[in-house]
Formats: sequence, structure tokens, C-alpha cells
Amino acid sequence: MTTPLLAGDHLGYQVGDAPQLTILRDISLTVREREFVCIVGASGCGKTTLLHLLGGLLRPTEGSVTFRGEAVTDPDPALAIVFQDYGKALLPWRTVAGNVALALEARGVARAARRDIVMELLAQVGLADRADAFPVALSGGMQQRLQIARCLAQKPQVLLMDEPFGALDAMTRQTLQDEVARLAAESGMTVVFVTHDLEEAIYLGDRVIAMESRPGRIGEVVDVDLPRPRNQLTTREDATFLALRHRLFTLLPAGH
Amino acid sequence: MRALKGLVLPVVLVALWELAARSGFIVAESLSYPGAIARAALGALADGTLIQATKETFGAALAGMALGAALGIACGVAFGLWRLLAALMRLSTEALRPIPSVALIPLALLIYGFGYRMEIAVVAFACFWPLLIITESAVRGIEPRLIEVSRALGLSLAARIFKIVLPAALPRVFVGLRLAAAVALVVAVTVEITANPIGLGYALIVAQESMKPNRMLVFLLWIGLLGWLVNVVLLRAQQRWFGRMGSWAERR
Repeated sequence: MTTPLLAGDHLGYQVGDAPQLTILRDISLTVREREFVCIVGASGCGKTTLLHLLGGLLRPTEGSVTFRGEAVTDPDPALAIVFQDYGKALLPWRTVAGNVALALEARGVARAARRDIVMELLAQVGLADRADAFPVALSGGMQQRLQIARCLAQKPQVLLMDEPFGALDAMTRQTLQDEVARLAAESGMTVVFVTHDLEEAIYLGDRVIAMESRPGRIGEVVDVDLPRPRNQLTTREDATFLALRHRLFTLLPAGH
Repeated sequence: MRALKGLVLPVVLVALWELAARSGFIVAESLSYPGAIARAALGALADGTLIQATKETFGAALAGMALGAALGIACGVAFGLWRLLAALMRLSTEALRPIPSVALIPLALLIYGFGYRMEIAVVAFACFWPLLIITESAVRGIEPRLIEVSRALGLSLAARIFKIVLPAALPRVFVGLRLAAAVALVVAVTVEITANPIGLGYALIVAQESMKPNRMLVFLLWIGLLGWLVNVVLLRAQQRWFGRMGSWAERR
């Protein structure tokens, strides 16, 4: 077994004082290099908070997060975060190309080199022909693709995705699932993917971490032993897929 | 078409006014008629006063606004980003803000004497407040997600301010600039009328004191026209710059 790339050690997160509200309790997890880990749980179980802890946007009140053995206390460009609300995460005053360039500017890439990198990234997510449009002129799926391109421009080693396709229609969601799986496989990136959609978690993940609610804690961890590349039809009909779905379904409360 | 409809009433009124004056219906020393005012306007244009005075007033108003707005925006960003700073400064700013800017004319006169500097100082004081308040609230109202994005991308503080905070606040700051532009012109002319012997305000008062009502009305109408023009230009600029970027700009 390889050493963990990203790890949470007995993470706890409380807010407020007297009475304190415990959002997360005693969460320990490890993510290996090139692994695709899905965290699934009902809404309000604290999975977004957990992702923000892993990305250094929040500091745990107990325990610690480590990346390559070093404590994560602030956001690290090596850990890119894809937010769920793509509409709010994009800069409306910058064009599609300008939004991607922002990550390059943060990295200190020279102006002359930016355009080529931006166009290459936009081609990767299928937005090359919309480089000069403003985000408002894009559909939801395209806006989320753009946010992913901006995260890729960070040259991250880990992509932390917070319910990235939760607000998209079923067709777009399936297309983007396959695109993210392809991007992760091609670039050798590690992905932590938060979702409330159990099937999405099994479909994408090498491993699924199911969370329980109030306070948020780890319920069950299952390895997904399905061949890659996965297929929206055959994978979802695979006996292993259905067995995993069956097993995890009972864990999540009905009507979440 | 709408602009034409809007012109109907003023044109009819001016025509009626001209008619009434010529037919001897209105007889007054102070209220002239359009034809005479037009002749006085040509006179003021020919002797160079109109253009010179406009330059002086515009120069002082623009410089004062630039100074006051720059300081107001800088302080507004700082107060918006750091609540503690805003809390520390709250009492001081709230105590200074109610002072009418024109009440500072005697003080400015003592410090700078007659001329541009005192006028610029008073205009800057007047323009500082609207921009401070609007910028502070605009910065507070920035989508928190954008701040998180800037942290996640690892932007430096300067980059965060210039690439995220200022552009995000700009549509509302621009509204503040439109407000300040109107204030700047009003305050500049007031300073000129009451104390400073330059610009349109001074020309206005000289014409009045030398019993030239036509000439006085020329300056009065010209000041009104300038104020209207400045607003139209800024409004167009606002639509042009922010129009293409969607509701983000219009909502604010």
C-alpha cells in the first residue's frame, strides 16, 4: 500500500459556543495517490464541511489534515476546489479565458505563456470556441466545465469536488461524470468527490465513503471493484454495482 | 423617439415665453426672454468667459472628485475587508460626516487662500463620503464564494483586492461615482459663488452684481446643462462597460 497523499486524522468540527453544535465527529480518512474517492451522505451531514477542511478553507477544531505528510492549515494551490455553485464561483466580469487565466496569474505564469495554456485547458473541457464569451452566456454545464478548467490551471495534485453536478440535469450530469473520470485518468490526478447521489458515487469512485448524519461521521467505507473505463449503461447494470448500491442504500436515510 | 417626446414641453414653453415677452405680456427687469438670453450667450462665448469659466469649474470639480473618490474607495475597501478597522474608525467618521462641505469653505480659505487648492479640498471632502459608504457596503456584499475562490487559488492580498474585490464592487462603486460627480459640480459652483473668484459660479455672481440678468441666466442654464451632460455620459459608460456581463452588474 502506498503512503497516503491526503489524510484526515480524527477530524472534528464544532461551531458556536454554548451550546456548541458538532458538525463533524472523529473522522479519519486517507486518500492515496491517483485514487478517486467519493464521499456520499444525506444533505446536511457535513460532507461539504469535510471537503472544506481537506482543502484548508476551514480549520478543524479537533484533529488535523495532512497533505504529503505536512499539515494543511490554509488553502494550498496543490489542492483545487470545485464548488457546487459554479454561477457564484466564476468571475462575471472576466471572459471564459480570463477566468481560467486567473489561476495562472495566481501561479505567476508569465503573460505571454498564458494564452496557450488557457486554450489547451479550454480544449480539454470542450470550451475552446467560447473563450471570449462571458460566463453569463454559458449553460450550467458549461459554467461547471469552466470552473473545472480553472481548477486544472492550478496544476493541482488533488481535485476536491463539492457536489459539482448536483444542480445539473441528468443528461449533462452523465456527460460530465464521464469527462471527469477521463480527465482524472489522463492526468493521473487524485480526486475527492462529494455527492449526495449514491449511484454517482459508486459509478465514479474507486472507494466510497458513506457518511452518517448528526453529527457527521463515517458510516461505512467500501471499495468499488468495477472495471474502468466505466460505461453509463453497462457499469450501472453490473451485478457488483447493484450489490454495492443495495448495501449502501440502507445506510442513507430515505427521502434525503 | 422618446427623447423627442421629452423635448416637446420645453420647446413649447420656451416658444410661449418668447411670445409672451415680445407681445409685452411679461414686463420685468429680472426675467428676460429666450432671444435676449441667446444673444448674451453668444457674447459670453465670444469674449471667452464661458469657455474659460467652464474649464476652471470642471478642472476643480474633476480634481476634487478624483482625490475624494480615490480616498473614499481606498478607505471603503479597507473598512469593508477589515471589520475591526471599520469599528475603530466608526465614531470618527460618523462625527465628521455630518459637517456640510460648504461649511468648510472658511477653513479651506484660511489654509489655502483663494484658488484651485481650496476649491479642490472642499470638493474632495464632499465626494469622499458617498464613495466611502457605497464602497464599504459593496465590499461587504461581495459574494463570499468569490473570496473563497481567491483563497483557494492562492491569490496574494494585492491580487485579491485588485482582481476580485474591486471588480466585484465596481458596479456599485460606479453608482457612487455618478452621485459624486453631481455633488462635485454643485459644491464647486457653490464655492465659487460664495468665496472663490474663479469659474462658472463666480461668473454667475459677477453677472448678477453687474445687473446683467441675461448673462446671469446664460451661466445658470449652462451649469444645468453641464450637470445633465455629465450624468448622461456616466450613465452611458456604465451601460457600455457592465451591460455585457449580465445581471451581476445590473442587480447592484
